[in-house]
Amino acid sequence: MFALEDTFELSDRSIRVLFVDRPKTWSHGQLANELYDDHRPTLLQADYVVVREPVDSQATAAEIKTLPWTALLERIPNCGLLVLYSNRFQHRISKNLNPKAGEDLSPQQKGELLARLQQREIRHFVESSNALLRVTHPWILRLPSNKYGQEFLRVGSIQTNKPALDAIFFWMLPHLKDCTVILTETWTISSLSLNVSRLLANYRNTAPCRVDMLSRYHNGAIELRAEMKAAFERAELTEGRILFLMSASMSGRLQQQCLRALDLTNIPVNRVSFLSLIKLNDKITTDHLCDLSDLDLAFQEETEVDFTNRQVIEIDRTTFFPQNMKDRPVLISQDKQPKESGSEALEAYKGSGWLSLHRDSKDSGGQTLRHHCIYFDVPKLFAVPRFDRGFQQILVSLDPPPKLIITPPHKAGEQLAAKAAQILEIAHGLKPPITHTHGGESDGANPELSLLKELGEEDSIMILDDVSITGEQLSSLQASLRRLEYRGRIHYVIGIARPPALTVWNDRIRKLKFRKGYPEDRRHTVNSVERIVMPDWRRKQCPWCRELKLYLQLAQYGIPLVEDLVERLQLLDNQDDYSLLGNDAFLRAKEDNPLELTTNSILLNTGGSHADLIAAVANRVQRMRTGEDADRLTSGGFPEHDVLCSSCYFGNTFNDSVIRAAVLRVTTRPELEFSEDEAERARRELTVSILTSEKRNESDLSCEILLASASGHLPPLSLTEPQWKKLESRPEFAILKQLFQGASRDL
Amino acid sequence: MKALVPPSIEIGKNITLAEVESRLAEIEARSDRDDATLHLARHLGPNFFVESWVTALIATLSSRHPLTVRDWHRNWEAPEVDQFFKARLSGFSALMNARGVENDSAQTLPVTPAQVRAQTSSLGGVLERNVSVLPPEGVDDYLPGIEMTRHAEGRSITICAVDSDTQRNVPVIFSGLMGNRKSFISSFLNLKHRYMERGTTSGLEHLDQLAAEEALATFVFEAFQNSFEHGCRDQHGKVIPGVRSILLRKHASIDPSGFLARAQGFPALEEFLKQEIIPGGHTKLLEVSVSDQGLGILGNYLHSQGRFAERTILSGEERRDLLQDLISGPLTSKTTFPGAGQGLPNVTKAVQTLGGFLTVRTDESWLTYGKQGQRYVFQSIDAAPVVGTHISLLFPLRSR
Repeated sequence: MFALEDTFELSDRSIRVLFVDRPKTWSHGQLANELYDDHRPTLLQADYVVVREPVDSQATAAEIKTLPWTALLERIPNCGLLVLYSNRFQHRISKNLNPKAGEDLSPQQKGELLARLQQREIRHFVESSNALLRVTHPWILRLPSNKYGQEFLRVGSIQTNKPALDAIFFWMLPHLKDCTVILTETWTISSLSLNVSRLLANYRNTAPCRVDMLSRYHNGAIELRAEMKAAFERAELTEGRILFLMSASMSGRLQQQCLRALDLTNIPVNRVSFLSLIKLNDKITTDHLCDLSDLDLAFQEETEVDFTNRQVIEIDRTTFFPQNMKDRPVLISQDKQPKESGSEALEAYKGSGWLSLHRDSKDSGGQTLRHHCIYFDVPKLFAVPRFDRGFQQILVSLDPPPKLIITPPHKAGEQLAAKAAQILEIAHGLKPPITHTHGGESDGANPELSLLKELGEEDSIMILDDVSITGEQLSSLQASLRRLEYRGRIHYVIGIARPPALTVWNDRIRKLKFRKGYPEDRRHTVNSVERIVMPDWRRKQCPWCRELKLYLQLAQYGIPLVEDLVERLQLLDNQDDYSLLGNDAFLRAKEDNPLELTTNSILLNTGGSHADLIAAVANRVQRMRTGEDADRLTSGGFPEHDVLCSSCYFGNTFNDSVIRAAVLRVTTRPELEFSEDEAERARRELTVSILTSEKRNESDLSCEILLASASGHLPPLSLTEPQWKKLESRPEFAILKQLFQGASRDL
Repeated sequence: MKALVPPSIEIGKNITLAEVESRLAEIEARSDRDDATLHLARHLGPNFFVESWVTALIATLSSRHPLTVRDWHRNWEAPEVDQFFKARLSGFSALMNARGVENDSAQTLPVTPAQVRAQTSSLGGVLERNVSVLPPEGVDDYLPGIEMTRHAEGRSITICAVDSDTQRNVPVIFSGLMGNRKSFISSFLNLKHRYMERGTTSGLEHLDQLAAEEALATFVFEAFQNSFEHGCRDQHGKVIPGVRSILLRKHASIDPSGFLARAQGFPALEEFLKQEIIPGGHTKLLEVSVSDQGLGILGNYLHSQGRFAERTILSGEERRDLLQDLISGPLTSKTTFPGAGQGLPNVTKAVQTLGGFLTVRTDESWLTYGKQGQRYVFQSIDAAPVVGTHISLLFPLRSR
């Protein structure tokens, strides 16, 4: 199911929306359960859920209202429900169907929301695919138009899944009325146009419309114009309107080429309409689905480029793919800004047991909220003077002191609130009431919140949370307070801010502080004791979930698991104990010693647990990913590919197996695997040499290596008979054999 | 004062639910904690829900008395031990809950509970995988180490998790999938297809096969998720050692009226068969049972509300009404979260989609949910207390 969450600014209000598709094969009840299971935390923050009905069916407002929404409404009691659908090729948004929450949008707001959803969804497809090709100096791209640039948008790359194709069809609907032929600029968007043809047949209950494609990018060459003319002549045989579909429009030249080709045929110009999926230049007037002119893709003519010390990567004019990829090997180095990035805090708090791995967060009612690859148990930090002091300093400095403390309803929130109340009483002689809420409630449901209406503009309250990742929950609470007519000041106090990038957090602070009509010194305040950059990894990205999934697949495949792996699986699936607190993060034979850290590592000194080390490495690598650090590791770059030097995890950069294992765990496969054959071959040889090493302080990484290979985190390994023989006497041999069995079964 | 005779319960072949209930009433009538003996037949016959009921009885008896399970036979024969104690829910449950298992010659079972448990875990938690045909030569489709049960009535599969006093577990084959509906359902359907069906069919011949499959999988997910979240801790939050299970069993009969004999002593079920199954000409039914050894639905709910002590003072009617509300509406122990509490209502919706009959045995309640005329209604029977929650569904394998 496709789902997207965002805040949309409408003319006189801002709304938080969770936008989802209802696939045709799903009942409304199934959608309700899916939303509840996968998007619970988002539902707490959303003002509206927008459900798009299957895109190839049309409906009237009355028909939409009579669909079986009950199950969904039971799952989203606090969100408005809007349905996105179409009728006679026009997009529509229903009235709010949840009588218990949300208000109806005005016609103007509906129009604005439609436009924002369209823009946001298509932008999402571009951003979440490899559509934007980007290189840095010394490389430069030669584009299909024979121009040169550092970036190229390959729109065809958004065709990664059916929801993306269906969504494009939906947004194209107003352009498809009376259309009988779709002619695409190249076959790179052929899946998209064929899907449009098929869905259009369902939509209007007719035969599919004709789809034709040009073979390559038309840069004005005479032989290509002939091909274009022939395509139009084939289209002429079919009555009705011809839609010429372009992936992106930058200069408008392609449309001009078409018009010239049309001149050579008998087709009247008004039988043809032009649609560009993406508009890349705000001066272009062609109809488009999504405006990405803000990407500002600059290009130069050949004569304008200085080719000294530059290497050209050609974009193929037929496939629009780069003709080769270039690796840029990167080393993990020491953080130059340990205070800003939070690596200093991780060092200071190590050994306090505040970090654990692979753990779910729950609210005080026992409801699972989400999974955290790296979990912060902030109340444990009160035992560390640095944190305790920092927390006190923030509370003492709040001006004016808060008259109400609001925290989310979870154990850590409750503990922090109790501690804050103590401090406020000592510092200010105040005993503010404490309330716990996810937000979104009416004041009647929570008596303490009724106090908010009585407070004036000069009063203040405190929103307190143990951890904040993106600050979305804080924003959501802020919106709830507005609905409850609170006019005063808000002090946001967060134990640890753990944003995926500093820019994300700084942007959030700016938004949270904003208080319309007030000078800087009377705006809201945002304080956190620490700020630690950390990847926001859920189940999908969690390396321990990946490990668990591998064992599950082995079991489901009917392979009886060896005892060590059964125990490991039960450890990883233990929802209650969270045993990955100490030195259990890495796979090993039961009788083997846990991997341990020696002294003076640049990432973490001795004295920490595996969780401390994992967090330190994750912090460092994430900093490199954000591009905020001089050592850049922008994963998934294409065709310029940043890749971690294999010496970081198998070579001399880090000698401790425990650090090598941590690097293996917190990186992604594209960050480890070279695209250039020779470098990748060397990396694989290095892998096998560590695996089969006679030195125990190297080969103790074996389980982790084969685990990475079996779970698809590293490419599959092949071992020769003598190499296997070397492993037979190892205590972990049974594990290695089973992992290898898993890897070779292609689970 | 006359000393009580130590409790001795007999579970024979073809025992009915009514007879199990009378044994439960016997247990309830005793106030002592003396050692108990359970004579357990190796084959429980084809009666509907009987494995689940006997498992409930074992859990209840062992919670009150140190329990010894006695096999009727004089010798241990390895294949039969494998077929029963390692492969049938009642046998496995007896082994996990009892202090000891011995035969009629007082010989102890030649395998330990720990060995059986380890074997079950290594096989994914799949206890029984009972099929009528063997895999072709060279195909490792079937789980090694699991024997076919000789007296089986149609295909079946049982999946178990054993909670210890320190840790609640998940069957290995569902590890990491609790709370993850989509993946659980997909894994469950794969498992069902692999071990219960032949060829590529889903085994369900409903008009809307997809909806039927989804309803069946939803039933299993919600009931088992419920057992995982609420069925394995006591009122102090400690893990209750015991077995939680999912059992699927196909029932077949040449003549639909032949099913009536398998429901004897359970009037509501007999009524369902007479009204829906026999006139519909159904000759294949699927039984699905999900069991745990927890506080029971009412006990758990009252505990979450800080009203655990009330469970002993509620009247039969209050108990019945509250249980019905919990099963059919959004009453939930997850008090802080909007939209929670749809798990058990999803179970009743699935029953309707499948045109089935539901029975819930928990605390002192025996609740049924089935069609009367055109409507689905609850019926309730007061019964002796039972440990845990045992939710069972019976439905025809095709639409009427």
